[in-house]
Amino acid sequence: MDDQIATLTPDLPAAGHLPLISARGVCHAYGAFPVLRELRLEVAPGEFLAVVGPSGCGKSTLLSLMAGTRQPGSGSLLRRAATRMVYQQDGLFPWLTTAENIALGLDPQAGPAARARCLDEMLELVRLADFRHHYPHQLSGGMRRRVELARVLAGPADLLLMDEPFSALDYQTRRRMHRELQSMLASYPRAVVLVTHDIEEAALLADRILLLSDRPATVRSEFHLPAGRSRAIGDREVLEVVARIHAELAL
Amino acid sequence: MNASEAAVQNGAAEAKSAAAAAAAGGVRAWPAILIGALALAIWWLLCSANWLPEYVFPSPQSVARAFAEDMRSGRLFDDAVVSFYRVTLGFGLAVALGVPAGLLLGTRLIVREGLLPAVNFFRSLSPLAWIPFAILWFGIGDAPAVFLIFMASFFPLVLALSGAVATVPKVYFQVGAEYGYRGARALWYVTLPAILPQLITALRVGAGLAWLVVVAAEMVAGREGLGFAIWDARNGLRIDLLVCRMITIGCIGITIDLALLQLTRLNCVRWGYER
Repeated sequence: MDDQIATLTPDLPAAGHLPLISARGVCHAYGAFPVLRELRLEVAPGEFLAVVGPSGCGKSTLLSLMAGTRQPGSGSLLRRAATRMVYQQDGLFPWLTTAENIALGLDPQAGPAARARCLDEMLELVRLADFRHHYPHQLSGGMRRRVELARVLAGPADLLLMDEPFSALDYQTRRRMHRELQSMLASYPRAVVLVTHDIEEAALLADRILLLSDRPATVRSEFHLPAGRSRAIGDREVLEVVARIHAELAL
Repeated sequence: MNASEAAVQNGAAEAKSAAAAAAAGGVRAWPAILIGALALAIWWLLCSANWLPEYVFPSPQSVARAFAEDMRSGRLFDDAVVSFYRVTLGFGLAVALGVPAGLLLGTRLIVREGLLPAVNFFRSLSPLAWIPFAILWFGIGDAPAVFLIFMASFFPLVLALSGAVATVPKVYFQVGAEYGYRGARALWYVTLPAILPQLITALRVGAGLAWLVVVAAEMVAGREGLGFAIWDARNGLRIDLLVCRMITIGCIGITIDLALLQLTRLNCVRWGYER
């Protein structure tokens, strides 16, 4: 049954320790151009998985398959969690305030009081309570990213999909955002799949790194890091993993 | 947030707000007033020195007297109301039909491919070319003027809006779909707010065109209105009245544009003017 495409209702709660995503033999093509080939991966609850690989190898396609916005050409992809996506581009609605943008992500099933409480919590979490009535164009790049993170954390999703969310930020802001994200996930634990081409970023944040091959992409190597998310750029395990990936890529 | 980031942000926000206020035309009216006063002074000087004889161009005093005469008789007000009514009707019709048509062209590729050449064709035609047909089909009065105003403003509006929709970043639709905005909800909650700044600009351009056309339409297909009043003054060799009515048209045009400009101050569209 390897060719069967099976996608569970994404709103089902994660079933205990079962993987949130199980992909087996996933292939995908755009017309005549194969993008993903025999891809096999799992995402465990609470895990932080980073996916790195060459530009255009199909990392974003993989995310859209996980999000359910595309169906795999063949193979099976099981999704046991509701997902939320953070896009590479600025995904805030510029005509809505900070609070209104975050409110989009709130659980629609929750009552008005619970929604208001959650919104306040999120604004406090990203330290933007004083900016709740500001519009995105009145915020810095880092602040806008924090609003997006608050929006995806505000809802009931168990799995966050991030498509190079910090690539447009300058180095210092990016490093600050790494710490912010670690802190947010400590308060609001979620599984994360982060697509990035920044190997250091992957080594700093992830529990596990998948290195994809050139297109059509398949998993080329897998790297594990010790649990715990408070790593620094100079830590031995970070440097080791970065060096191993560099060696693998012959950089 | 650290103190420096907050300070930078507050400063940036204030600077952007000031820029937006300037862009919205709400501040610094004195340069325009100064230029207007200067033009009036030059006009008065030219006439006083007889470099601009009365039969070539009326003096400010003659125009002021004509203005008082037109106001006393009530004709200026009546004609302005008639022209304003025609513009409101013709332009209102163009907006009512043009906005949905622009959204349709912008969101449906097949409709855009099919209709865009036709929209461009009609947009390129001068609305004045329709005058013979306007008279033939609608006779004299409100209808031909309304028709000409509609023809002048509908096609540019459709083109501007379809272009605006086509340039809405794809990520807005992706985010919208993720949070349940699909179909008509996406159109109302994502597409429309995303194009609102361009819509307001298109409305300003369209209103200008409509006001431009109503004068021409009334000159040939009307028995009242400011356009007809100008033609009537010309026939009576009353160039003082003619200039008085021209000034009135210009002032109403500025007033309409200023009114539409106020829309750019709405919080939900300011982002479109602050990039």
